[in-house]
This record gives sequence, C-alpha cells and structure tokens, in this order.
Amino acid sequence: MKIECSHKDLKNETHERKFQDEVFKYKSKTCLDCGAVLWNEVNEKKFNSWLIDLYKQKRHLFQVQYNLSENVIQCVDKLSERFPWIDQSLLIRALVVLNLDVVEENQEILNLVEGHLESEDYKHLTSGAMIAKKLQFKPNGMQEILAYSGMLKVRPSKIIEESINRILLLGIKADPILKAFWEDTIIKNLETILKAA
Amino acid sequence: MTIDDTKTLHEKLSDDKASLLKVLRLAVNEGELDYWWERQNPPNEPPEVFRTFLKKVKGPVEATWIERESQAGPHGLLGEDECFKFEDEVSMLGIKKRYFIKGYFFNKGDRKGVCIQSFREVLKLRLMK
Repeated sequence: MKIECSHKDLKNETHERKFQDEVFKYKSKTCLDCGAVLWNEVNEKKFNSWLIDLYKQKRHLFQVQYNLSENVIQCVDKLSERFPWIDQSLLIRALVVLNLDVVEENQEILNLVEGHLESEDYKHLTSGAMIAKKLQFKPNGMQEILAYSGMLKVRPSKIIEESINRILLLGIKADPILKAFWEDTIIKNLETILKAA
Repeated sequence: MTIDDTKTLHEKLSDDKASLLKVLRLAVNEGELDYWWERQNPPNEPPEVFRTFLKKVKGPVEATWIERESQAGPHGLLGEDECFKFEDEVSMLGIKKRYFIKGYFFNKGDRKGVCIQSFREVLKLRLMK
C-alpha cells in the first residue's frame, strides 16, 4: 500500500463510528485504493446530534472515573472554600480546562511546573491513598477529553488526573512566579468561569 | 467590529499576509472541513485529534506546496491545484507528538474550506517506510 494516497477511486459505503461501546452508522465516500473514508460537515452534524440524543438516554457514557490522592483532594477542598456557591465537579472541570488551555500554553510557567514534577512537594501532593471520583461531561466536553486522550494515547482519566495534579502545584509552591501566576491568572480565571456557570 | 469581520470567508482564507496556520484554523472553524480518515497502514488520526492539533500547534509551520494528483472527491474538481504538506509537533502534559499533514483548499477562486487528505503521526509513518 502507498504511504500517500490521493483518493482517486471512490465509492459510497456505510461505516461505523464508535463512541464508548455505542455505534453511529453513516454513509460516506470511501477510497477503494487505501480504504480512507470522508468525514465532512454533514457527518459531523449528524454525529453531534446523535451524541446529544445519546447523552439524554445514557448519561453514564459521558462520565470519566478518575483517581486523586487524598492530599490533592484536600487541596481541592481548600480551594472549594473560595467558591462556596459551586459544585466541586464544576471546579474540577474548570481546573482541567485552565491547565490545558492556559498553563500548557504559557511556556515559561510550563517549564517551571515541569521542573517541579520531581520535587518533594509534588511527590507529597500525589502520594497517599487514592480516592476514586467520577466527573460528568456534556457531549462537547467529553469529545474534547476523548480527543486529548486519543492524541496522547492515554486514558481519559489520565488527562484529568495529570491536569489537576499539575495545576495545583502552582498553588502550593513557594516559587514567587508560580504563586503570582496562580493568584493573578488561575484564580481570576476560575472566578470568571465559575461566576458565569 | 474589526476589519476582519467585514471580509468574506474567501477574503479571509486568501489573505496573503496571514500564516498558513491562521488560514487553516479559519477554514476549519469558520468554513468546511473535509477530512479523510479510517485509513489503515499507515493510519490517519481521527478528525477530533486533527482539530486538537490545530488548536495546540504553535507554528509557524513551514509547508511545501506540490501539485495535486487527484480530481476525485466532492471538491476534487473545484479544489485548488496545489496541496500543502508539512510536519509539526504539539506537546501536552509532557508528551510530544509529531504529525504529517497534507491537504488542499477549496474552491479555487472562492475559498470556503479545506480538505485534509493525510494527518498522521510521524513516528508511525516512519515505521511504515
């Protein structure tokens, strides 16, 4: 088979796209040379609408079970005290988003965070008894977590666990740059997100 | 309202001053995406992984432009004559992934979307050669 194919010979065929163990069937153009299938805006809209229906019927498919250490849970509990009006699962979702969209995009902060991943503070934070939790997502949030999971080839729970552990490190380190970023960026963004929720 | 808001999609997607990455993001977010996947050996990544890559890649990307071979497909006849191809990497949660991307814009003279023919992890691609 060629490494590159320009999809010259095409045929309409029925295909299946899996979400968890549920199957979405769709018809699309298929390359007879390499087997590639065309995914277009029509399929995307039908799939999204199918996902919304699935969410209404089987909400448990949009949950991710994850584990955090008891020390991390304590940090989350303490952080929750600053936002007493919100459900803790909303705080967890907001922290995951902020880690992926804000911390991971700031190279200076990211370098500092990664430099502390071998520190005693981080080991202490992530050690101790592990507590299992579940996080409910809406279809678009779940798709985003699954996309990160697919890209990094890790379980969806790993995206949540790693994001929470890393972002909380900002709040517990004595490093003045991390401390300032935590208060001025993370907490302020959290306030904005959680007030709007 | 910015100057960009007054432009048509074609004008935004044909802006010579905009980087390829910016134009690609605009094409995917505001226009149409035709995405070829489910191919095996080597596999194309799923469309949501492509969208995540596009959101995360920092650029600037350095693309090579080559003549397009096929006129098949829904935009085959109306698509532009040249394909772009490039490699770039994203890094998240300490994991780096490098991808190969190949595609072309459509329609010729009235850009309104992009067709991605290949989006594959480079490591898998090298192992296939």
